[in-house]
Amino acid sequence: YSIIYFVSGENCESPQFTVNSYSTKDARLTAESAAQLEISVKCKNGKQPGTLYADINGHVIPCAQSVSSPGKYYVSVATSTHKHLAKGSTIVKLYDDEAYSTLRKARTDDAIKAVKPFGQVELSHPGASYGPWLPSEFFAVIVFGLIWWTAYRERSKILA
Amino acid sequence: MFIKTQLILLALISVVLSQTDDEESFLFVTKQTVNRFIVQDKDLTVKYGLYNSGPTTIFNVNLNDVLSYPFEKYDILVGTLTPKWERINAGSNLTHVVVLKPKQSGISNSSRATVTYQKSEKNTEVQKTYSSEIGDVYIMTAREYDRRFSSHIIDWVLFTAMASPCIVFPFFLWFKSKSKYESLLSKDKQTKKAQ
Repeated sequence: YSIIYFVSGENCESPQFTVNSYSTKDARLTAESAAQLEISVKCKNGKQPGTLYADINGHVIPCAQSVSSPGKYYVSVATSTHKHLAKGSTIVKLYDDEAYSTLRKARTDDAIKAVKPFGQVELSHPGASYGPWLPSEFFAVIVFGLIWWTAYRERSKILA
Repeated sequence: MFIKTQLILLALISVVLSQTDDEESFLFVTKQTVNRFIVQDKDLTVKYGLYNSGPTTIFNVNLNDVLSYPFEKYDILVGTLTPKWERINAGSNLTHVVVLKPKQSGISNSSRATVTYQKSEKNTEVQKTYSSEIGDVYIMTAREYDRRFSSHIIDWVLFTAMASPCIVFPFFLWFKSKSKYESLLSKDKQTKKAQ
């Protein structure tokens, strides 16, 4: 019993993730879309996983860690147009060193799918908006136009 | 004469070829902003692209861009200005996104980011490279941006409030005289019917 614990003491047990997600939402301010996930990992035995790799949209990339604030992992995505960043939730699978080396050794698609990820987080992107559908000037024109039209109608009644 | 130029050419080519060491990798770092406009107190998204050209993996990559964005002028909203990666595989592309908020307006210059890395796991000799730079940018004030892009609903409500005396007052006069006229007309009709 104690031997098993000694062997698995290095790894992170049942990790819990706190995720801070950001994506560019204003399409008038930005020309391209970019998104970032800031992941903090909390392990049951207090250890931190070494390097984490993220599988995002089929690409497996290493997560950046911060020199100034350790314990935070960053996954970034940048696309060339606003349409390329998928709206809604994208699932990002995380792999630690062990899982990543297993993934690299896997040759067939089935074997790749069989690798158990370290964890899973979500990137939610509400979409990039170009502003309100109808500008407020449109409504102003309609309202004042109506007022003018009623007045004109009454005026022609009086003059006639 | 011809042979001389041939020899010189051959010498040049061999020197050039011996300089390029295809055993080692080189890291290219680009720094760009995805913003169309940079506005004070609004998000400024900076994107760093790291590309490992070359056949080997590089290790212990550290990017430092703290000097470009000092604390007094920019707030960091998302991401870090000092990311590090344990390894970047050969031929792979990485992106790192940082979102800042400029506190001041005017012309601002951000310098290049410094990136250090090791070409091999055992050799701790550190290679330093610089990213591309964005150069001088104009940070517009929030007012300038709003003038072009905000929804202006509040402006229109205020305009209606200011224009309404001009409209409501004559309307009220007309309505008063109209109702008086109509009541007179109906009284006339009644007396005519009575007669």
